[in-house]
Amino acid sequence: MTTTTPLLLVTADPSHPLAHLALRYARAYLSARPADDSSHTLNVFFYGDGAHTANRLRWQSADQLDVAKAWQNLAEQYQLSLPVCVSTALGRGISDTDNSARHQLSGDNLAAGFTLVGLSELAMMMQADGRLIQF
Amino acid sequence: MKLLIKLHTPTEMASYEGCALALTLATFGHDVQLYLDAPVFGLLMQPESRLHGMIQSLELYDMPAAWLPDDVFSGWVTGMLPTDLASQLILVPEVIPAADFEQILTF
Repeated sequence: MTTTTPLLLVTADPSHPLAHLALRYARAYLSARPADDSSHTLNVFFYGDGAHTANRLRWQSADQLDVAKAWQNLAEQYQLSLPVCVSTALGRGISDTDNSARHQLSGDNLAAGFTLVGLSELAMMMQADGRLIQF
Repeated sequence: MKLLIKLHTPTEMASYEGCALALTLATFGHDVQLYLDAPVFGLLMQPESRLHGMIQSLELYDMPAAWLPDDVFSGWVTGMLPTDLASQLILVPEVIPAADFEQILTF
């Protein structure tokens, strides 16, 4: 039997129900795989409004799910990378140290565990995978 | 991967990001078909919008003409656009072969 690594393209703002659904899908997929199976991981890519997830300064009231924190926990537990499209992030005021220096922006606010990458990273992921799901 | 990317959100940023994704994936050898829904017509008609410029260059990316909804507004907008841009647009087929696409993305 062949399996393909799912690629979750998260384009929904973290306040959108689809952003929560993406997280639930990821949790379910990762918890369902055999404990000794490290080959079938999960690829995630944050694009468009999904980049808001990586904003470290986005405050969330305690009665609401903190989507960024949930992704960080999942990434730590399953060694996931959390790439975010750099241009969509910068367009929404989300930047890391390098990009802030490059674009003369004061400060940075990329949440821990997330990385800013080019859109070509997504294209490369898609060449390796057969299942793409947009949330 | 064969993809249909539908642009629906009438903002400069969303239409740009959807179209930029389409062009990037086409550059990497993916088979991408764009569908421009009526809400983005206003942006398409603005020469300064990034969507306008990117649709003009579809041929450079070996991408097929972008689909437009098969209605009277598409005919109107095509008539209003410059010829080089209008040549990159075509009405959506009567029957969309949805099963041919591995995924449909919406922006």
